[in-house]
Order: sequence, then structure tokens, then C-alpha cells
Amino acid sequence: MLFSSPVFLFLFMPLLLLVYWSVPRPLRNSVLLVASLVFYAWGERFFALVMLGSIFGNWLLGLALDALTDPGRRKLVVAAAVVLNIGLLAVFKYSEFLIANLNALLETVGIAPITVVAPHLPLGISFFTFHALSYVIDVYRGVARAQRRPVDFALYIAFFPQLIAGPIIRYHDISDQLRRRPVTLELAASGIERFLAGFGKKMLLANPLGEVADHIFALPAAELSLGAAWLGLLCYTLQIYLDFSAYSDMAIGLARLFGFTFLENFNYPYLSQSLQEFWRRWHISLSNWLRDYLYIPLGGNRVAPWRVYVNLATVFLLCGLWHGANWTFVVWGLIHGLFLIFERLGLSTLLARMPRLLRHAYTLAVVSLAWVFFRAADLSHAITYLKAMVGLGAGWSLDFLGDIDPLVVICLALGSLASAAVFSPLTADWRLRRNQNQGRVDPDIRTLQIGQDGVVMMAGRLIVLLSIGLLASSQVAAGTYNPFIYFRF
Amino acid sequence: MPRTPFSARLYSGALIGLAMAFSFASLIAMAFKHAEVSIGENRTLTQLPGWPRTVAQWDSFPERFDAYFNDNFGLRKLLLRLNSNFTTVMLGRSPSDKVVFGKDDWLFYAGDNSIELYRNQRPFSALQLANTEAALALRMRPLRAANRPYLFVVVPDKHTIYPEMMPTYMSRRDPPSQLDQVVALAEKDRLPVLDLRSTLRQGKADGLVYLKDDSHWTDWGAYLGYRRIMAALPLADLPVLDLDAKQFAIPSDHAGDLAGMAGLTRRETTRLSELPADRCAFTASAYQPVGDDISIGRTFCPQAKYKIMFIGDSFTEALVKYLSRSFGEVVYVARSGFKPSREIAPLIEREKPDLVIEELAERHLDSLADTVAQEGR
Repeated sequence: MLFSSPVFLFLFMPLLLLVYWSVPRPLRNSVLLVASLVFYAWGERFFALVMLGSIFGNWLLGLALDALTDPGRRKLVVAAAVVLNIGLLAVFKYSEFLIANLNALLETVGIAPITVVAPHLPLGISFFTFHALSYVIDVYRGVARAQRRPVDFALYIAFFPQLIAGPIIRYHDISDQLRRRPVTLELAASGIERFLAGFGKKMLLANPLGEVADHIFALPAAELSLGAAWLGLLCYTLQIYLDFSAYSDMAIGLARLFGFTFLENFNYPYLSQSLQEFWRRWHISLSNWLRDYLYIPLGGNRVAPWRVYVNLATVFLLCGLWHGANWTFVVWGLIHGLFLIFERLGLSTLLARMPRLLRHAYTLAVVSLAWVFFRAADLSHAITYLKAMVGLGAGWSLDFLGDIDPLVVICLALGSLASAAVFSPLTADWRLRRNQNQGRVDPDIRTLQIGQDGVVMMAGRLIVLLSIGLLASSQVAAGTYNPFIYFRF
Repeated sequence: MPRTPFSARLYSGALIGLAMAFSFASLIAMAFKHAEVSIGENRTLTQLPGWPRTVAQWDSFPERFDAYFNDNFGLRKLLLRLNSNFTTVMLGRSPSDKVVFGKDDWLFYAGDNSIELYRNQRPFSALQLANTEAALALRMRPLRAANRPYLFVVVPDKHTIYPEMMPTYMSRRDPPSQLDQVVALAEKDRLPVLDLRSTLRQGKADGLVYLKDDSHWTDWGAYLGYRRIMAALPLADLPVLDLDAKQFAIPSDHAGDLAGMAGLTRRETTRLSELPADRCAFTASAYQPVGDDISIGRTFCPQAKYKIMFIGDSFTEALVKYLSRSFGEVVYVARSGFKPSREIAPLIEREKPDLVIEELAERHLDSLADTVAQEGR
């Protein structure tokens, strides 16, 4: 079930809010859990059992870690948890990729390929696996106590706003909220504000840009002109940020309606002046997770310089693979890893001497070019696309101008302004977001004072937000509009 | 912590209340809505799936329920109207990806690869052309054996006749178009293919040959098509209607299919012909289904001779009043796209017409080649 589907907006959410606010407080987590399981099973049917198995297994492992005092045995249990969780991910997400590559190797030495039926990839498996790992590692490190209540633990893993596309919530960031979370009128209102802003960003800006990007990335090489390739990349660069951050906005907003406050996941990443800064602003919950549970355990920065570089390359290679089982993602991750290494090797010193505009240009250039690999169907498609970007494709045809209509121009303009944080002063919530450190807003979101903007500003905001909601809903409806030129009665 | 000001509480309450009210209004509206057909979409709306009883039904239930809910959620019509108005008025673009806005309020069909065809981006491959030829040969073989003439008529797409009304940003590649290729093939192999493009282009000088809001031809355009078809028939003593452009004078309001698809409620004024009273007032029987996507209707004109079969699509509708006055009996076979001969041949065998005319819209020319693979199944 998508946040932008009619069944979610006009059935699931209103009914859930009605039930959630009607039942006594002690039952609210159970209501949220049942709703989350329905939300997940709606898309995954019987594969919801995979997630339930992961929840049950990790809950038991957490209890075992809590019960054990012997460091050796605790280490054994946490190692087992890591192996089981990564194993689950490997089986469902990477087995086809691994076997395809193994077969390619076997073919070179004349051995018959292995035939294995690729398993179905359960939705959100990368996210709930990282949540589960966060939990067992937090309990192992003593950063959090094991969760004895199975409903609360299952809710941490399966809570529907973050289940399919994050943000990745570390257990220690939310463990207290699973028991006690006061909801104020302002927090709920900020939740609706945030949801509507994300909903509008997705439906009114990201989707139209995505249509152009999809069309251009699907063009055969013979039709991919220089102009088309650059337009496609520009649209995709904006689309991926607007779409992904919109999903996070909606998740954060929905969570607030139930009293949860998630950490921020984006901080205007396209304003970055280096790759290091980009990763402090892009998919912050993933960066935090990789830093806490992978980079630091590998030694982090506190090892010899060459080890730091190896660690960075390893983390970003795995980061790429986490996004998808395809070499394109590996290359995307490695590009980021390599530029982070270059920056440590002296590029950042060089950049510091450059004008601000050039630093932005450098970061945007690397990030955007890496997106080609992220978006391309395979490596050869990516290479073809990059060739077209330097004029080695279908030449200088102006066919791509057909893709630029007033809506696309408006989306490019508004999307660029939104990415550049131009609209952030408009609401108290967004202004708070500008003051964040690794996703943590300072001061806390619960100090939010919606009234500080004044009556006129609030009235304007109400009109703008409701208009955005209405227009975005009309786009959702348009997605269900399926006219036929011939009768289908 | 300072007490929240009243205005902030009012704002928060209004925002939450209005957002929730909208969601609940949709649910409530749904409870009172019982439409089964969407006129604007030309289709039956998905109905509520039954309670699942088997594993397979459980597995497919969310998908079926989504299909039902997407078609029936409350306020859908209102939201569609809002989307249509906002997109057309504010952005000047079509709210449907199946309709393109041209110049001067002209609408063009974008489904069935029509735009790629207009841009000459989908030329037939050598294999497709060979299959097209094979498909026509298969259709003609039993007819030739029974000494029944066959004429294959291609009705051009509106874009082909009115390219000057297409948006300027839609560039075109150099010809050939698919229709150019088929016409060249027909000339080479002496296939009975009738191309109506030049007739309709010439007719533009005397009136609109296609409706602005519809994908089909006007009464005038259909008449010109009829005249060209009649001229191409190898039958003697055919009573051909002879009208002047001035006789197309009866005003009529038309709800165009493209306007409907774009969610526009406007109606287009067009002009219908005044037929001479001395010609037969033919009788017609209702269409009856005879197979998947095929149905048959017939007309009788006692004063005329010959029994013909006319296999066509939605373009046939405007031809009926002309053709039916020119033949003793016309068996109309309605279908979309070209059908394999094994589906059509039994009908011809049963009806034994003196002649068979088959009409196909330009955008469906590729369906000829596709039938060759289907014939073998």
C-alpha cells in the first residue's frame, strides 16, 4: 500500500485514526501493530510471514542477550543475530545476483551454470533487517534494554510509516517512545503539515519530473541526443530527491499523528559543498546506521589512513549493494566512496580554497553523474547514457524539447527552489529542521510553537497546505482515471 | 512551557479537522455511491470483490479490492473534475495521457501509439511488412476462390489529415509512415488497398473532415470516404449518392470522445447532411455478438441490389447512412483491429456476400502483421 494510493488516503488512514484515538491508551500499540501488519500484507500477502519470522527471531535473540552476562556468549549471540539477519537479506535480495555472477564465472571455466529459482523479494526487507540489526546491536552494546513486550518490539520493526522506505530508525532513538509518547495539538498539526507537504512534493513535483526522466532513460541509444540526456539527468536528479524526501516527510508526518517523533532524514543535500557534507545531508538515517553499525566497528577514523580509505570504500560498496542487487548500485556506491577518499587525500583542502559556487558545482556534478548509474538498467545502459551526455549518442537533435511543457518548467523551477531550501522559512517546523545535527532537531520538535508565525502567516499556510492536499489528491484520482476510446461495457 | 495562543490552537484544529473531514467525506460519499458505469471513461467500473474463500482468492484480494476502490472511492468525480480543470486551464495541457491538446482547441488521440505513428517513429520492419502482405493474402485467398472482390480501406488518423493542428513541439521524422509503407507494398504487389488520405485532404477546403473534439471523421469526411470507396468498387450500376458540401447544413451538437477522455464537458457543433428524400429509407437490425469482440448488424434497402459485407470499426458508424442506401443488403461486422482470417472467414462463408470491404484505422495497421502469428496458434 502506497501513501499516495486512494485506499491508503481514503480508507486505511481515516479508519486507523478513528480506531487509534478511540481505544484506551494501553491498546494503542496493538492497534498500530495490527494496522501495520495489514498495511504490509496488503502488498506482500503471505510473504508477511518472512517479516513476522524476523520479528520473532530477533525478539528472542534480544531476550537472550539481555539474559546473558558472559561476554563470550553475548558476542556469540550477537554474531548469530548478524549472520541470521544478513543471511535473510542475502537469500531474498542477493541470491539471484550472486548466482548470476557465479554462473558468469563458471561459464568462463566451462562449468555448467547453477539453476536456482529466484525468491520473491519482500517489500522493505532492507529496512526491517536494518531495524532488527540496530535492535540486537543496541541491546548487545547496552545502549538500550531488551524489549520484553512482543507487541512493542514488533511495532518497532513493522511500524507502517517507516516500514517500506524508511527512515531507518535506530532502536535507541525510539525505545522510550514505544512506551510513552505525549501528543499535543501542535505536534499533530505539524504532522499533517509535514504529510501534506510531502504528499504535494511527491504528486505535484516529483511525479511529473519522473515521467520525463522515465521517458528519456527508456530511449534507445539511437534516439538519445545530448540535450535529451542532460534533461533526463536533471529531471532525475530532482525527482529522486523530491520523491525520496517526500516519502520521508510523509513518514515523519504520519508518525507525529501517533505521537512518534522520527529523526530527520534529509537536510537539503543539494546545498552541499562536498561529498562528505552530502552524506551528512542525504538519507541521514542510513548514513547514521552505516556509521554506527559498520564504519565505526571497522575502525572508523581511528586507524591508519590506508585503513580509513579501505573502510570508506567497503562501507560505500555495501551501501550501494544495499540499494539494490545490481552492479549499477555497486558502481554508484564506489563513486561516492572514491570521492570521499579523494576528499580525505587533499581534495577537500583544494575545494576549501575554491569559490563557494565551484564547490557546489563539484558536488552536484559528482552526485548527478553517479545518479546515472543509480537509474540505469545496467552498466552498458549507464555507459551509453554517459556517452550521450558528451555528445557521443544521437547527436544534437532537439527532439527533447517536446518533453518540456509548462508543467515540466514549473516543476523544474519549484523543485530547484525547494531543493535549495528557499521555502524553509515558511513554517516553524521547516525552520527547526534547518538546525539539525545528524537528523536530530535542536531544539526538539516538541518545543515547536506554530503560533510564532502570526495569524496572517498561519491563515496563508492553511490555505496553501489545503490547496496542496486537494491538488495532490486530484492527481491521485487522475491516476485511477482510465478512459477508453472504445466502449468497455 | 508557555501556553499555546488561541490562534495557534485554532490553526492546528482547523488543519487537522479539515484534513480529516476530507478523508471521512470521501468514505461517507462512497457509502452513497452506486455507479456501475463511467460514461466519461467508456467503461464499466470495477465492482466490490466477494469475500475470499480460497488461498488464491486471498492472494489476489488486495489487488481486486484496490481496483474496486480506485474506481469507486468517494469524491473521485469531484477530484477528477478538479484535476481536469486545473490541468487544462492553468497548465494548458491535457489531463489524460491519451489525449493531446493541439492548436485552436483541437484534440488528438495519443493512445495506441498514435503519437509515435504521427512522428513516423514506428516504421514497419521488413518482417512486419512481409506479415502484413501475408495477412492480406490470407484474407483474400478464400474470397478470390469464390470470385468475391475484396477491398481493404485505411481510414487515416486525424493527425495525418490535420498535422498543422498538432502542437509545434512535436517534431516528425521524415516519412515513410506505416501507411506509406503499406500503400507502397500494395502498389508493388497489386493488393486492393484503398488510401483515403488525398481524398480527405482535398475535402478539407469545403469543410471539416474530422471533428475537433473527437477522434473520428465528420459526416462530411465520412461522405467523402464513402464516395472514394464506391469509386473503387468493381461492381456495375451502383447507385452512388451525390451530395454537395452545401447540403451538409443540419447543425448538431456532438460530445467528442477525446473531450470526454480529457474530462472536458464541452460539446462541439458539427453539420450533418440532408439526404435526398427519393433514396430508400433503409431498415436496420441491431448488432448481435458473434464472437469475442466481433458483432454483426445488417441493413436492407429494397430498391438497391447486391449484398456486401463491411468489416469495420468505429469509423463505420458515420458511413452507415450512405452505404446502406447504396446496397440491397449490407452486413456490418464490427470489430477493433484486424482479426485473423479464421475468425472472419466463417462469417463470409455463411453470408456469401457479393463483395467484402474491410476498413481499418491507420493506427491499427500493425494489427495486420500481428494476426499472422495468431493464425498459426
